[in-house]
Amino acid sequence: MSEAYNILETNKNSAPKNRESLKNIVKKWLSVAESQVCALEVLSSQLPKLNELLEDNMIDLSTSFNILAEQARNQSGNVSAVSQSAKIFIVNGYPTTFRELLVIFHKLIDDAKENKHSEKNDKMFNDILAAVCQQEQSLSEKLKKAECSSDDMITAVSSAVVGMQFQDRVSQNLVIATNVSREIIYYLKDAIGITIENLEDRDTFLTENGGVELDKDFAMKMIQHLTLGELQQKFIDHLIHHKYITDPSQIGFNSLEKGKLQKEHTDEVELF
Amino acid sequence: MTKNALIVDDSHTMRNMVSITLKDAEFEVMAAEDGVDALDVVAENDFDIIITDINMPNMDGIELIKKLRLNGKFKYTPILVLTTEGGDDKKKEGKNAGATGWIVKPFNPQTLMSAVNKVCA
Repeated sequence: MSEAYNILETNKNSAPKNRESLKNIVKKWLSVAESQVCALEVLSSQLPKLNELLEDNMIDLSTSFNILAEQARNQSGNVSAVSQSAKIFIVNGYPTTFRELLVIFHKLIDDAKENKHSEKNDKMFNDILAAVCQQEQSLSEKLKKAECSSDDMITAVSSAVVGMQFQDRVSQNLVIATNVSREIIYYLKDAIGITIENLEDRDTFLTENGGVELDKDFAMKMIQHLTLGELQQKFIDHLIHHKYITDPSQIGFNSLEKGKLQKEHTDEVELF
Repeated sequence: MTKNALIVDDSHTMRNMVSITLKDAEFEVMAAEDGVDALDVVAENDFDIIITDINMPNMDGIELIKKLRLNGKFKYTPILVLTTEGGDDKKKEGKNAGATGWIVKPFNPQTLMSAVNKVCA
């Protein structure tokens, strides 16, 4: 397109016949660009909806992160409980630390070495065994609970991350693409000596200045790229609204073809 | 036995996400940021599965798949496409290039692993 503009600029003062040919070339480009803008404006009209979806998504993400924080707090509590349980043994009804337990064990061993057998020592030994078994069970239960909390945390993280994948990228690309095409339109109209303050005036230009015929093949290709039926219809409505066409069949689009053109993807995974 | 996976995507976030998912399933994971980088990685390593995006700079996913299928080492390696593209035309192009399967982003980690396990079985 910039080449066409350069040619036009170079030949500004050339013979009228040449200028007319160049003007037609630029008009042709304009027609193509208009189709592009139509398609992009249709997509851009989806931006408010996209923003709404983004906001909903951010709320879901925020909820997921709150759940994650709650899970992390629970997990911290579980770890503290496990840690405390590991330190305290209940021997003969009394809480005993691990160090105290070791002292008792050493005494029992020393008595055994010196053949100092007593019923008291037997009872103490049995009490200690019972305490260790109880401790093991308590620890197992608490560790299992901590493990479940870890699984919950992983699920919450996954949920949050899945929701953050690509919305911003899509939104930005749409805006950039639309702005680029608008710029092309202004550029081309300037090249053929028409000054348009805003795009609302383009209908006047098209209908009262000899008209720019819609490039039907290009319009049809644009429809084929808009794989969602809803967007195809919006594109058609847009062309009719701006008086490029009066009926969809003018660009070879009709309701019978609509089903064929609708190649809406529904399956998330497809193995070939 | 540990399996090796290669993830190819120009998005750092996506590479991380897929890596985490696969590592949780006890895969050893390597990553590449586009088709050219991926070819360098596969030249030095073997993989049980390759997961690739389509739209990448330097070399896109379709081109990468074609080149991998020409490489005897990866002629039968499962190659899953993980992409935002959902149209039938693109899928057909991927299938013709030699892709094993097609997953549309955003992906659910469980869905991805289900597909990975099926093609790696």
